[in-house]
Amino acid sequence: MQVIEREKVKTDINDLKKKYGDDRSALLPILHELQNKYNYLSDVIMQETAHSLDIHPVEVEGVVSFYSFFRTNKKQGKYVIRLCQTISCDLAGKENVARQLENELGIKFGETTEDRMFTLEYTNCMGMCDKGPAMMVNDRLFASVTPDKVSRIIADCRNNFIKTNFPDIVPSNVVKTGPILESDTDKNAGLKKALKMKRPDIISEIKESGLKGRGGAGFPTSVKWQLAAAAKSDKKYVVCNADEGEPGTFKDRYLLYQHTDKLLDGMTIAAYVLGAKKGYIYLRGEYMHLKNMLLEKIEKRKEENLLGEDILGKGIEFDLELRMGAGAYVCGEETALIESLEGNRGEARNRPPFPTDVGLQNHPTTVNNVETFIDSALICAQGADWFKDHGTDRSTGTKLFSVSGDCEDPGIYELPYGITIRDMLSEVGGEDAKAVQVGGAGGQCIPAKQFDRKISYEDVPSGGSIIVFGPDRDMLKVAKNFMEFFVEESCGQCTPCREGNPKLLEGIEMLEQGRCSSSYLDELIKLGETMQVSSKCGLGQSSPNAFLSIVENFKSEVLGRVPQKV
Amino acid sequence: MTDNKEKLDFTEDKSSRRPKSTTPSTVKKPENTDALGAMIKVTIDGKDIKVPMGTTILEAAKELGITIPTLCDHSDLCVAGVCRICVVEVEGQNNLQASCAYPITSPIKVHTHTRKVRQARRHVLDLMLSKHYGECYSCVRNGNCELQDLADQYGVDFYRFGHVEKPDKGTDESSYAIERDMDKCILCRRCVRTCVDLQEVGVYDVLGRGEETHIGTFLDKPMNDVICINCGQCINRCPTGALHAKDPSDVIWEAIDDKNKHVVIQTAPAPRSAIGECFEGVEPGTPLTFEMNTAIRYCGFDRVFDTNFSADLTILEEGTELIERLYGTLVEGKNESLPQFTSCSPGWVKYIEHFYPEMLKNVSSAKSPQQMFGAVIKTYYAQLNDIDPADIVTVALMPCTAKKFECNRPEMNDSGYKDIDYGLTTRELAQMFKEAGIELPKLKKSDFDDPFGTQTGSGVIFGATGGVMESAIRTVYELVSGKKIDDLFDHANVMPVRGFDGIKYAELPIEEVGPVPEILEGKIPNWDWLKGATLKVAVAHGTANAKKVLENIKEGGKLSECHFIEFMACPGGCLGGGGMPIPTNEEIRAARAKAIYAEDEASEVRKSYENPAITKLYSDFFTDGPCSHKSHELLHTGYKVRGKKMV
Amino acid sequence: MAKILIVDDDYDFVSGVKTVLESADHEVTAAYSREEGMKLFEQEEPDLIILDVMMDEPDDGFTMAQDLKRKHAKASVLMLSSVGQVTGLEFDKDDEMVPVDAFEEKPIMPNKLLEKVKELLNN
Repeated sequence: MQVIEREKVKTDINDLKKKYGDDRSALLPILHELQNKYNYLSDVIMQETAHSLDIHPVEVEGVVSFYSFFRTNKKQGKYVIRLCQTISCDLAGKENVARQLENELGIKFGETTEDRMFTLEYTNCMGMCDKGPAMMVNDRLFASVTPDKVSRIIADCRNNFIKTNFPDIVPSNVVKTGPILESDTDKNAGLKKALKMKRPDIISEIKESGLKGRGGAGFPTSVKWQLAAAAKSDKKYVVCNADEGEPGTFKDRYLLYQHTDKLLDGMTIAAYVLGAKKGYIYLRGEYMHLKNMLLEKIEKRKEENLLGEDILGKGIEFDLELRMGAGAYVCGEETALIESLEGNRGEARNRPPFPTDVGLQNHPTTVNNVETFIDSALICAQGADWFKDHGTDRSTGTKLFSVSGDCEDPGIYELPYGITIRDMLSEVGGEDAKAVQVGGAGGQCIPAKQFDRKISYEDVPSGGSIIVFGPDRDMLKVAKNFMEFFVEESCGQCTPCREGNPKLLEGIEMLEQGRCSSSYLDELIKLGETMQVSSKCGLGQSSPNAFLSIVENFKSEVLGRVPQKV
Repeated sequence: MTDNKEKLDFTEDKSSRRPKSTTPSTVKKPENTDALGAMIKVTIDGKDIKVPMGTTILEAAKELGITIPTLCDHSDLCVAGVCRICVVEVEGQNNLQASCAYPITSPIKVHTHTRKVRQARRHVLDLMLSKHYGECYSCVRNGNCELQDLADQYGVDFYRFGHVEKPDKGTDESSYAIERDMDKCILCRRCVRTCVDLQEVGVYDVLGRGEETHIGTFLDKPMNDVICINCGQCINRCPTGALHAKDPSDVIWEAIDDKNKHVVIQTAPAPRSAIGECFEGVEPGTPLTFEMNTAIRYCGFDRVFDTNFSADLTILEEGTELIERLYGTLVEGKNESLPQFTSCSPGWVKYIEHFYPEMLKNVSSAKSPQQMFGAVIKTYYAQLNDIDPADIVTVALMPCTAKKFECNRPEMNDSGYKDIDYGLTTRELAQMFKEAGIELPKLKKSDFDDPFGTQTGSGVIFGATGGVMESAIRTVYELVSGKKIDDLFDHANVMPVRGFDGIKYAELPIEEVGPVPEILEGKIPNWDWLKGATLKVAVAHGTANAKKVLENIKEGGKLSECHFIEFMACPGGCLGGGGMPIPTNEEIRAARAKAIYAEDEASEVRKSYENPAITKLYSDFFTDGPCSHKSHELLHTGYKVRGKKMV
Repeated sequence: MAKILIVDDDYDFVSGVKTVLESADHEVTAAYSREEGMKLFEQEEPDLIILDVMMDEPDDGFTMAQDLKRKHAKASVLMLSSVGQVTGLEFDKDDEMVPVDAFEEKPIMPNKLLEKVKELLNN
């Protein structure tokens, strides 16, 4: 029996290698497909995949065990229900949904039903923060789940979704548009205009616009493109970072869905500037539901001669491939993303070299965020001045914000950089907030007394995540949720992040139980500072931010607690 | 002989599959430091220095005499930059930088012990200690532990973030050679880099993520169930006691104490060059061969023999086998497997059994010197001294952990008994000496016991990469040509096969041939068929290099034309073995090699066939000569097709 | 004997190059950033510009070279940079992205620099 399975697996792998290539970079897509077919990744599958790609079985296991979407456990239900446990869904009442799921299925989280129909798991942010609590059933997405909806969803599962009242894709709520979202240029205007421009002139225009990476790190887009464009190489790559994993961010999901053409325009412009013939969209595993739509768009563009061998008759060649992530927040970090594309654990690389210099398979590469590509396309269409019209000197343009938490109108907002938190709160209906988390889990928690601070690269930077905490929120619980997130999502490479985050979480638990001395709290604050300066990558460096800003700003709220009796 | 190293290009990097997260940006250092911009000014703690572009901060500091602590950094391995203990402050940068992974490409100012740096390092250390089962008294690495040293240097006087009081993972003792105690692991990943990059065996990798991150084997199987070649290179590079060898010293003491047991030990060439490193004040490369004999007797061993004897025996057996293969192919038209591969290194043997089983027929059937000696002791020596072999306990002092596995191979008991009872490493013998209160460097010298003679140059060089080949060349050339090898190489030093190049290649033209020597009579009629031939040989050390050689042969590359190839599993050969003193690095290995070659140079006998103990063995015991029926029975073996599957 | 402007943020390197060029009787002015470099270019009207790449921004040299081309600068440009080693990528001149007259990797031997300078001045 085992011999037959082994032979079958070998044949499958050989077929998949034809599709994805025969080196290690094919590892993730091959594992995805094998898991789809066999339901889990058995030790035979891991060994055969390893031998086939000339790596060691333990290296494959290293990869499989890194990404939360890969399973090695045979005992997995037909339907895997993943409930989001991250902050916004937590604020929206995920606890009640969780309880009801357990009640309906008669199992606990982490377990599978006797009949192998259902497995219950928690997952981290799936980009549905404005419509929490959210959950996924296999690749299907459910938003605003309430305890009473749970039984209906389970019934639909038992029916194999032959008939369901739940929509396939849950759109996001755009509350406020601005020049980017309203831009009503002709279809592909940016691309058409760009292809008539000289390559240095495009870079010059982007440079002039002051566009900085919309993912949060804020690196000038023009510099990234310039170096990769100036480099000589037979292969260059344009990579779209669609691994929107920052808790509280969902604007890329919306953009991927609603503004696909502008995104692909932006990527094609970058390809033209770099001289890249190949591009990848690295889409996070949680956005599997967007996969087919994106593949169709790519196909359509090929038919329309907007992708392929001779784009718009200009002799430009650019091919695009979609690669799925597999559930790892750290892969949003640029070098970790490239590692993942190369078939490795998503572990950040050493710096230097700096991100501009890091390439896929050592070839010149630019990695940009979804929004950045869209902005680039629009800047090409409408000029740098149009873009610079908004924002501040050092943070030009408008920015898409994903707003969630305790406010009247959660959703997507396009607002200029430089806006104060106070103004933003009045836009979203959250004036009574006691604090706002700006920039996601790795961002800062801004207390009410600092609401005049500006959201910009020079003051409070943000990749777009805004989470509002109402007057009754327990800030220690908030901090705990963030720390739980980092304890799980740390890639585990460097000591400060791997070991430091559990210590901070432990400290929060001590605070909860009212048994943390203020001198130990000071020690933990110092530890947080160490983590900020000595972790290897941006994830580790930003992981203590929420803890630090919460314990510092809400010290009297978190100290001296009387433990709650259960 | 021509040295054709330059014709072979093995630098092509096939390891593009390696994660670059564990590879730093390496900036090529300038060839000419007089060029404008070649030297970059760095200021470290106020001291200026100019260093070649691409030098790391860590290297620059070292040159200035400034010590920066390291843990994950190891000079044999690619830079990981994961432990973060080596962080320093670079002016103009908010975050601290890992000095091991920071190549200097523009002028910078660095501070290595500011408050920020001290605090960060202390925290990193405290975090490691919070997860490390630091029960130092009962730890094999007590007194030689990098973590312990750091705790000392940084004045750790309390556990800021707690520490592990009870081990919860347990020690994996399933392997004959390597034990893993993951309660002591600090996740520096040196073992992973050693196993995957340096050796390309791939026992370990990092598994899991976040808090769950750990170093594991495939499916966390016990060491005995995974594809491990027992080379022990991971042990040599582990900064703590998380990895160590299976120590037989307790049972050896018991045997010594047992009056009915006749306990003999053979000592391999490499340990004598390094055992001094286990004692204070002894520099690497200080040979203590004869002091060690005294110490061994002081411990209570009944006899101490020199493995050089069986190294020479190996040359005769393996050399004859080679000649037979060549004769078969060139004269008799048989399809003998060439090149012939050496079989002395048990790590290498297990490597090929797993990864290239289809090429096992190329491996010489000769047992390793360790095993040959065992078989001879329990037959010839037992008869000679009228001792029941059942009462003989054979111990092998080896630089090697794989020898522990080798002596437990079921096929290794041709004498009717286990040829070798225990493999003992250099480190373990040093420990026995310490337990017996022996200050090794201060002891008087004494010689090896008869009847196996004393040190020979041809035997001792087995301890360094290329040594087996050099000995083989010395003997085979002289037996075939009837001339002295010294005519070709000064002092018979076959330089082209020496040194630490990963793969060495050499050609030896045989212009004239002599008469067939007595020892080979009856095997071949004459040497005429070798006249004008060119013997092609290669040497590889470290199994990553072995892999390159085997791939080259498979592709029909230049090395497929070789006649004889020496393989050693460990970098540097046996002197870099997994049972040798810790630490190891290229400098230390070079010092050991120097000691070994000096012993060779000082030896009276430097060619295996001239070793009188060998001549006597063939005239008294293996009377039909090498590769005869009897020698095949006792001195040769077979191999097992193991493959890569793990069940 | 020519007017040479060197634009590079490495003071040591600039002073080294200066010494070498002055020994060959050239008149050398130095700028330590792209902005300063453009300013001195307008002021001094040099015959030759020796241009680094990575300064305040990692792509400053490329940007300046492109700007010079847009201005139809008469001066020859020698790009002298270690950008290749630092980034691990390969760079060379081209008409579009790296519009310079010669591209040389740092470090450079003094005689080779003089040779290159001579060659560019003669063109």
